[in-house]
Amino acid sequence: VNTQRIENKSDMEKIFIDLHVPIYRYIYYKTGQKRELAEDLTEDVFVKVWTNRASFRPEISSIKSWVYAIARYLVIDYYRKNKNIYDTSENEDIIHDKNDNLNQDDGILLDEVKKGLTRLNKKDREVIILRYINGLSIEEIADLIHKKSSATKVMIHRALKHLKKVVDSYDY
Amino acid sequence: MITEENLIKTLKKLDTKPSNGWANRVVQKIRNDNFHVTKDIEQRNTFSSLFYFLSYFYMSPRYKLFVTLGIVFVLLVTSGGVAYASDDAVPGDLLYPVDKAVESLNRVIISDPIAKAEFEVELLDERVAELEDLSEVSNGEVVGDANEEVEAQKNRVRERLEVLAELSVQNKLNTQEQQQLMQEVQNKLQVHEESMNQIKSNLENKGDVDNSQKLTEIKNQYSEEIGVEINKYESESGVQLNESEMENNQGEDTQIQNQNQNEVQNDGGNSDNGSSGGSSQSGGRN
Repeated sequence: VNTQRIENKSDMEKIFIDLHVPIYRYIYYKTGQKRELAEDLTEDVFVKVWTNRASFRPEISSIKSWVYAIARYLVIDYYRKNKNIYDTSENEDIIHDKNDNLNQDDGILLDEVKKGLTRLNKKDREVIILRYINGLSIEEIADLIHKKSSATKVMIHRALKHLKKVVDSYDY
Repeated sequence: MITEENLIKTLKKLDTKPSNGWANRVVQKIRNDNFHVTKDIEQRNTFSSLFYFLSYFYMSPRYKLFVTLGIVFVLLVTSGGVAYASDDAVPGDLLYPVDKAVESLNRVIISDPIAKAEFEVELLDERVAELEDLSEVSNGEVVGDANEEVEAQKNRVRERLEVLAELSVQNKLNTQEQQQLMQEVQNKLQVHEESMNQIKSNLENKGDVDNSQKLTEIKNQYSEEIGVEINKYESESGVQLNESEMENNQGEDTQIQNQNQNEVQNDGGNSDNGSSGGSSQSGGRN
């Protein structure tokens, strides 16, 4: 994201174009892989960015970190208000959302990994998404989840092990 | 078994994207100054709309208010209707327990001792009428139940009259109201005795000897117990209750004036000062 200010619609559009895919992906995998829900929540994230633009402090954080933080709290808020929604439920998207460019084995593995993500606890899932799906640095993740870099590294490592265990269990 | 390296590689392939249509719509909203939250997040749960409608906890406060008021209204209308319908129920009817429940509720609500006694007397009236109806058409078991209801209600009337007698000694009752009530009890006693005789004859005609005998016992107890309460009242108050309702109405005012003249005049019929009759009258003049 090049801009460090959100002063007008043009700045907002730019931020949306730069960040809507990773934010969507973060929300999509975090909230049970439901496309429509993820699109709605992602839109809300950017609405909040726009309506709260005056409170953004470029000297404290980057736009990217700020938008991620808004997305994170919006998802937490969503689960708080919808307590009886299973956040680890499987749904049809996971099975049918296949990538045409993959061969059959890769496609099966991809499905298993997607399914495995839904089996992880919220914290494990979050760091996996941020680190490996969205490619954030350890420092960026640590900043977002309010942990030290070393602790974040351990969290990511453990989460990956947990995911591996879940995916391995699908082979039997 | 998947290796961690392979797992990471696969994770990086999870490049799900939102639809272009959605992204374009959002961009248009930003450009057109139409960028605001269009739906509450709570409404985005994946439950069906029917479940959502029925799920109280998902409702917005305003929606909750409407639904609550609606439910209360429906409950009031239906419960009022059921309670009204149940008033005519007799033992063995589906609505009879509702009738009894409404009566129990009234017992709790009514606080004035004389009103409580009046209420029980009215119910005794009702119980005897129910028994009379059933004795003409129903079988022994149902009539037996109705018999027991009469007996239970007779006991309640007796208990209320005993309470009144105690309060009367403490001069805590409105003497005029108490006399009216006792006159009513006296009148009802005669009416109920006649009704019970009629019921007894109905039962004997049907060959229901058990219930007929039971009713005779209840009638005798009723006459005796209520008679005792009436006599007690008459001797303590000095008021002679009349044998018929007509005579009662004619003689009532005169008797009250004779027996409790000062009390009625001074405090408008409310002598609830906790002192004896004599001191109450003296205090009233002061």
